[in-house]
Amino acid sequence: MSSAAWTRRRASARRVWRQLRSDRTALVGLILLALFVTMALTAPLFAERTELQAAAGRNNPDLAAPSGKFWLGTDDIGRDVFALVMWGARVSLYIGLLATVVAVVIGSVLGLIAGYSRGWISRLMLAIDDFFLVLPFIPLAIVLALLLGRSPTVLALVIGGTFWAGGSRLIRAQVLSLRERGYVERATALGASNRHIIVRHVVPGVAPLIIANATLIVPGAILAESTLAFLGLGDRFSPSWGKVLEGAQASGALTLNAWWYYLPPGLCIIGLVLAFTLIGNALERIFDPRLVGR
Amino acid sequence: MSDPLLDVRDLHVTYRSSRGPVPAVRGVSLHVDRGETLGLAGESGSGKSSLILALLRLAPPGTKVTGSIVLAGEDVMTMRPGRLRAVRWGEAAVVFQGAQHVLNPVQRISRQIQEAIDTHRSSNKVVDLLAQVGIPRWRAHAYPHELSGGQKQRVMIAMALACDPELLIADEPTTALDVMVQAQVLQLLADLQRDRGLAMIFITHDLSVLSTVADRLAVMYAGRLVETGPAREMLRGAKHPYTKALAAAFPTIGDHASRLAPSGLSGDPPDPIAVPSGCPFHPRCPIATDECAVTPVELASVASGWEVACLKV
Repeated sequence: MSSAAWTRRRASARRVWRQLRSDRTALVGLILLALFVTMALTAPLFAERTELQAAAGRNNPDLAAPSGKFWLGTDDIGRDVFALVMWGARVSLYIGLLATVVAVVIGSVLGLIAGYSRGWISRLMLAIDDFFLVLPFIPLAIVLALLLGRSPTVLALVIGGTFWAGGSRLIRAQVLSLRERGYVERATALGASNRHIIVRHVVPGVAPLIIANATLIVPGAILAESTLAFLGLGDRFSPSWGKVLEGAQASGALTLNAWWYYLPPGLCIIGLVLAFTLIGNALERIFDPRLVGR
Repeated sequence: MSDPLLDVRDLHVTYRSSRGPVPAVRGVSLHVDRGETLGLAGESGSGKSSLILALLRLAPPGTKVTGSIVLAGEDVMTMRPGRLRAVRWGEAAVVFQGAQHVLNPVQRISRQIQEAIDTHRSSNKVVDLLAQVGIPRWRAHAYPHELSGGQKQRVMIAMALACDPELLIADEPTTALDVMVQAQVLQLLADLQRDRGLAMIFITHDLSVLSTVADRLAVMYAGRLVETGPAREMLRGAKHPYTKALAAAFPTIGDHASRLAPSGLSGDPPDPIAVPSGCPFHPRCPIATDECAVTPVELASVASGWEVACLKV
């Protein structure tokens, strides 16, 4: 790559950043996201990791209301809910982002192959895509998680491995259109290889779509993780927000009106999902000028 | 004269469609010598573009191509993919119609010309190539939309020259250009051809364009050649009624008689799936007789290097 290409790429990245900041909804999303990232990064400053252990709450009152000592009260085994929520940001962000990376990589590669190849390879890719598109997610994820283990990483891989189909379909559609462009025909006549055409003409054409799609997969992945955790998967002693909610539900915090136990993780999930959705929608508007003015 | 640079024998190109096979080219034989310009003319749908796509095996996958294509002594039909990629642009380059769509809108033109140079490790430089087609050095980093239609077509020509091909295939390079720009582009092609000794296949539906650039003409109708011969003589005294109609479709400036006697052809080119029997041109032919509808026609020599496929000639 020449340095000119990188200068240009930096310039266009700056332009996207500027447009993103001038978009009010995106700004809200960015601020929210910054808040959650700060939470995840500063969690150790506020609470030791050991406070997530069952033993940590032994000497604390169970389900205590918020106080000077416990800003957000305690859970049903006496752990500090504030510590759980701070550390939960790490788990939720980690699973959400890792799952997205997995989904985007699988979706992009399969979408490119399905769109660019012809004949049986294309049909096979499309069949795989259709298969994953119609699979009921929750039962599949539960079975896979039970088979493969329930660590956050495994959970992220399971979510990512089942979340790529929609994006793959989008990318395939765009590649189908790019493949027929005159400049692809010219490149073929030029003696260019398929690899060259894909790298030089097709991937740059779908890159904005991949990025915008990725930011829209994140909220889905985070919600999926929360759902699975709420249904009982995941690690109680390295809890995501969904897992904290499960604890609250199981201990009857809702009937006991222990709002400090279920409200903070619930609001965090909503906030993080909202943040990524706002940013994703704004990126889509920036990359796809046809949506402007709608 | 040695062997021709390009020798095509009995070429058939058949597309697949939901309505069954579509024969777009039905047995065309032609040759191009080194340094010579062959003008290929015909209406839309006559098979001109299918023919040239087949020359470099660029027809869409699933298309059936038979016959023989020998380019600079090598058989294109049996070439291995690696060699084929080297021959594409290295020996025969294409100036596509509609430069608009053939240039990537989000890449600078210098980069796109460099693409051709890099693919074949050519030693040419982008600025030199642009200079040859009359585009100033400071425009090299422009995006396609910053150039005019004529400039874009020049960029395409510069790109075609990037790897010093022996054969230039110009597929309607002047359509969508206004007449003045069209004249400039034609002049440029003619100059380049003379200076570099290029062979050229020039495709158009506009016979008046060919009169200025071509040495020989080949006229296609319904996937076959109907007349081929020396350009000047053919334009002056076409033998085949279809060539006559094509030539008469352009009025002579200053000649009032031609303005008052509108000529041209009625009707549309035949559906390639259901080509008329006998001479395919007979339903539109002004001099057709009953015999034309049943008797197949073949090219027959009328003079040295001049062949016509018509029963009435």
